[in-house]
Amino acid sequence: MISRRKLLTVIAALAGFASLRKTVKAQEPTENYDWNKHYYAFVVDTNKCIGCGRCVRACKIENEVPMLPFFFRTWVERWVWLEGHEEPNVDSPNGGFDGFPPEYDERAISKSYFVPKLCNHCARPPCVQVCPVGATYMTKDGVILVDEKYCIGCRYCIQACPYGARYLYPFDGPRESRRGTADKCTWCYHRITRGYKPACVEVCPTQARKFGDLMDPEDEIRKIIEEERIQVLKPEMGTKPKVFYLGLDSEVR
Amino acid sequence: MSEILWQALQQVQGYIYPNEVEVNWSVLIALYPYITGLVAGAFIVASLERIFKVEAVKPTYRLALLTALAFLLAAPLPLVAHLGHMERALEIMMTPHLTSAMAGFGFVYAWYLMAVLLFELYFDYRRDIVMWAQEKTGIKGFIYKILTLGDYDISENAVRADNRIVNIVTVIGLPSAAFLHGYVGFIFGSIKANVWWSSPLMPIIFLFSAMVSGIALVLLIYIASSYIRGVELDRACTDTLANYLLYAYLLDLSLEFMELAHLFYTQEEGIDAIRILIMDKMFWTFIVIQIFLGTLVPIGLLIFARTGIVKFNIRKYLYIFATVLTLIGVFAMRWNVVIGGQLISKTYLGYSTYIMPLFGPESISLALAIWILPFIILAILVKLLPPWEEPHEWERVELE
Amino acid sequence: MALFNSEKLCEGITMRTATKRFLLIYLTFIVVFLALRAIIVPPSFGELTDDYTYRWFRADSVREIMQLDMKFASKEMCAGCHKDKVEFLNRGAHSTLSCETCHGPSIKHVQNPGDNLPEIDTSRALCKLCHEYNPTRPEGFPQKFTDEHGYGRLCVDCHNPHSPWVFKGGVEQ
Repeated sequence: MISRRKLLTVIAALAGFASLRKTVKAQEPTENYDWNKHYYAFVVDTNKCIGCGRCVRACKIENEVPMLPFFFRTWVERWVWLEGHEEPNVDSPNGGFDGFPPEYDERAISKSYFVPKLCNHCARPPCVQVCPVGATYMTKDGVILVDEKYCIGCRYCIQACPYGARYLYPFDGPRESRRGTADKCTWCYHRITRGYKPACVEVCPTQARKFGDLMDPEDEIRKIIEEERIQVLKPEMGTKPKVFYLGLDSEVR
Repeated sequence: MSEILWQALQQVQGYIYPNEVEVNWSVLIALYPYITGLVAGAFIVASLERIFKVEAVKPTYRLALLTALAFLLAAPLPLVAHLGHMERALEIMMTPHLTSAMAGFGFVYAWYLMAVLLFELYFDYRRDIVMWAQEKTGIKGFIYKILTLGDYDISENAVRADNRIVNIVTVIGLPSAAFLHGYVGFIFGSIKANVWWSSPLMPIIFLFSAMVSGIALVLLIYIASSYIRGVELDRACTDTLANYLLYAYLLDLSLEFMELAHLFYTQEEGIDAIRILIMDKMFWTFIVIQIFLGTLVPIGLLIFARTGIVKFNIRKYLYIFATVLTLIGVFAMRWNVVIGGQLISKTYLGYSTYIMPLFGPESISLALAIWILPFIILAILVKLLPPWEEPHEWERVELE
Repeated sequence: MALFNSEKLCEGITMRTATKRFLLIYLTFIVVFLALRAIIVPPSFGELTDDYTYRWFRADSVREIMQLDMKFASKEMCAGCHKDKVEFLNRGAHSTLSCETCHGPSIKHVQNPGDNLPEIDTSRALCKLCHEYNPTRPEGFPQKFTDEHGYGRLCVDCHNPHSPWVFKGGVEQ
């Protein structure tokens, strides 16, 4: 008798387990937006960046990122190669939020440029691969998102990102539901799915930041990627980034 | 929280990504592989007797098992305590994302606890539990009565069956123990973004340092418990354990050496940053504590003890000294992996600083509390299930 | 029928009471775990999953993120009402700028034009962000801003911020 009861329980349990795997799969998350019809990419033209930091500010406002110098979804770096120095001088005071004070003497500089950084929304994202619970994922249109209601805050993804694009949303941050979870750039997913540009792209005064849809044959981004010589950050990591750089120096990482 | 970050920002050296100012994996995460390592190591000591029939270490068999259990019960605490959302911890078993090295933790842990340790302990102790249940009264007797699960059969056949179960479980348990800890190494070794972690050798290095620390812990607890009970140490047992500690140490040292040799010989990108990390940032914890005090000195002491120049009474103190240094050295190794890997920036151009708070979440006081807990659990377990009984009748029978 | 057969199979293996009960406790654990799992896991988890490695997630999370509030509007939205301003802007040297580059986040103003007027910052500090001399800036970018230029007056006293080469106050180019 016991063995039959046992067997029945096992069968019931397995059935319960299987019922969780719903076979019905929706094609798109909502009715008014089809994520199968888009595939986004981002282009940063370092030749045009003037280091004004408006993007950093706009990003922090748009996405409720804490206004502290330890948490950034996007930031701008200043790379300065001084004459006679082998190593570059790199800085990013407050992520470039307040712009860059002119610290260097022009005559000592051999070359210098600004490099805006953000999440690369890799096509092979190590951060998603290492999430133990399924709280970060890649959407069909190619954006890496974090589920702030599901993330356990183990910070494995932060360790796995080669670009330093993630941070732990602090426990005193302004957005309560996001506290203690991993946070990162979403390419302003709430904007782009409504047809607007990400906030940093919107406010960039020199169009150093460009955002577009690779599935749209008329898109400027697509033309740049098809026709220009582009680079990505840390290609040796095999992450296949979707933020493409124009005029990137080989030492930048 | 943010005061510490402001301090850390002041101490940043060179250029690091702005999000790297915060060292995300704290002392608690250094404690976690340390504790699991002790579990795996202690279990391997127990397996020596069961599988490899090393008769000399028999006095530590049950003690090693109880030690493994005590530390295993504490092992998830540092992990859970450091989560941003502790209440969501169970998700790791509810919707496991198995491409993550971390997702296996719940299952590996449950498997090791339930299918290996509890199984082995229960069937090893079953005969004694039944006997205690008949002898003892009061709360203790009640606990034993529950533990018998209503089966009071301790006939020769039953005991032999128990023994067979324990043997099978140990055979399954040894690879499980190796997996439990090798897998912890994989959590770090698989992070390609971090030059200091990314290495296929990492799981094996973790495994061998786990064996080192586990043997040292069991030896130390054995010496201490004998002292507390006022019992003479078993010389053969102590010397044999010390010998195994030495062998494990030599393997561990050569693996570490291979890892460093590979890093410095291949000179891949980031090697300059690693050089500064080792020589400057981690000089004390890596060179002085881990390599010199934590590895070379204990190996020297153990070799010296092995020559047999000194008497056992003095050898005993050499062992105590060596095992304490070992335990410190292995913790330093965990620290240097976990914290060290985060000090080095992914830009390879700078270093962050880890500032450990005294109190509060992820603080030194919490880490110490979690570290002391397994000893308390062990004391309770030893009271409930005394590991120093006479050898079983049936074991004598089987030996013949 | 298969059920009955397997029952007989189970009977074939003789198990002691202790082993049987020990295993029964484990079985209870597993059943409790599976029952808990059925309750705890959010219903939409795995709904949009077609790739276990990269899309193992709670589908409602995408919907929640899509519905987050915007803080910034867009240049096109501004043009909806301020058509003349935007056209003027687009003809001048500041044509690549968005209104909100200087005026700040304005979606509230779009939703409720009467209230929440966008900020108008006329300070030299704002212009300095882009036009202060800095050797790192690309060559050819207008960055002649120094403290001598303009003798401490506001930039907007002479330049029209919407088209900086259009001058106010009678200053000739």
